[in-house]
Amino acid sequence: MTGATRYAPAASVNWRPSPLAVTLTVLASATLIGAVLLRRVEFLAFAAPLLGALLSAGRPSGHVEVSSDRDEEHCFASESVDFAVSVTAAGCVVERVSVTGADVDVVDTVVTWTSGGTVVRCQVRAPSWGRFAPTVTIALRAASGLRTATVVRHPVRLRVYPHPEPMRTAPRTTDLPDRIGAHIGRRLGAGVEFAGIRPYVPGNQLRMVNWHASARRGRLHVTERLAERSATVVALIDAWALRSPGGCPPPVRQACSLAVAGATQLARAALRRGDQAGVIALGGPLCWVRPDIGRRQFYRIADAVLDTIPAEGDTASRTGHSDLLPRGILPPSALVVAFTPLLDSRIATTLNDVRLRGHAVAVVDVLRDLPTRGETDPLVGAMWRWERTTMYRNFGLLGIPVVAWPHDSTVDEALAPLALRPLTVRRPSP
Amino acid sequence: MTVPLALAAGVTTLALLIAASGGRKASVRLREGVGLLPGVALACATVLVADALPGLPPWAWLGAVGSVATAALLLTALPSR
Repeated sequence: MTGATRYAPAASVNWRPSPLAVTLTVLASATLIGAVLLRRVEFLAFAAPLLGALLSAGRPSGHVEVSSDRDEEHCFASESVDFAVSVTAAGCVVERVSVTGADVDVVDTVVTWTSGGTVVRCQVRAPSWGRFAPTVTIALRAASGLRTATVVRHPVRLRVYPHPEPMRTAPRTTDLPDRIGAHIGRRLGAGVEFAGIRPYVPGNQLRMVNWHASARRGRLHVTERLAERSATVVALIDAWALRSPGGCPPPVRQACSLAVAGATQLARAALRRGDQAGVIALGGPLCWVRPDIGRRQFYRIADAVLDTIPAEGDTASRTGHSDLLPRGILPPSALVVAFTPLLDSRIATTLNDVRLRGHAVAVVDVLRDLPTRGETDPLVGAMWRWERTTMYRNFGLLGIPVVAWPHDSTVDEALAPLALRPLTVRRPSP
Repeated sequence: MTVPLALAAGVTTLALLIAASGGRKASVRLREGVGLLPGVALACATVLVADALPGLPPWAWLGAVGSVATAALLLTALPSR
């Protein structure tokens, strides 16, 4: 969020005659015709002031500058945002200012007219996540109202993040990185979970001695405990289906939107547990955020995933990358959870490649409905579901578990089967 | 009706139309209309001078000039709407 004032470029204003100018022109024309037909100079005298006014209203050179107190506003879905827009006109008069938005609700607008210009204080509410630009429409007039113009500007951009819900499940891998965290790993260390009892060796701390076992065995024994480690979770968003040349049906767009929401929620939950979280977005230009910890990382991830879904109507196919990920973007022992509609074959290649690099991979199927437009035969739906089941089994044979995210369920419920036991990291075969 | 009276009627009509086009901001519109006064005054003076000159009847050549001006206005102003 920047605090600097942002000025929209002062583009040329397209002036047009106002209804008043048209009225004067028609009236003067009628009077002139009457004067010539009736041969009366009085009619001409009546029309002369009207014509004089019209001819003196030449092309105005007025321009308008629209500035906002902030370049971008950030908020979560269903939250309200306040912003102020200043409109300064030179050589013309601001007659009316209005703020509208196609996908945002304008809750309140207060217009203040000052000597220095017009200030519009507006409160908007975005019902869903995404990128929005509220439209500021300014009606101008010049030459005593004989010329009017309408200027449309977008001085403020809204970045609305998906609202992450609380999440209890925590998918993790068997091999956790050597960092202190909240997950109980397989290695021994200074945790609280009991691992076993072994004889004392010189160098062991005195507080590790298990006095009950030592008294029973007649020699010193110590208690071993499991280390608590943090995990590295990378959410992978598959938006390849959105970039298909023929456009995508509504179920696919909804699935990709669900993928973004799920990835954000998974990242938020991981960061709250103290784990490292990152994101990779496939489909458009390859976009990723390397895993890290902290609240700031969540906003980095949320910013990155917003650009994953192209705007409605943007069907430009800009893949920009192959189906193989660069080596450096996945740290060792990272768990990759892919949110995908499983429609593009490249996702299978990508996930298999990631698995062969030694990462645990899990898939969340976000496609809830048949990816078609309009009604289809029930038999088609049954065959599609059967095909999806086969696809799940094929992924399972590769060592990649797939869970569906059905209707009326949260991502927490969808990921619950993956959190029952640690996901195995399959080492690449030599 | 004499020519000065017709000129006064024209100016009054112009002022009324300007004031009525702004809704409740009639006074503001009239104040802005001061910028049109030079053009209106020039047009009125032209009519008065033409009426005083002997020879060709004023309705004829003023009608021709006015028609050309109106045609120019219609050709330039209306298409831009």
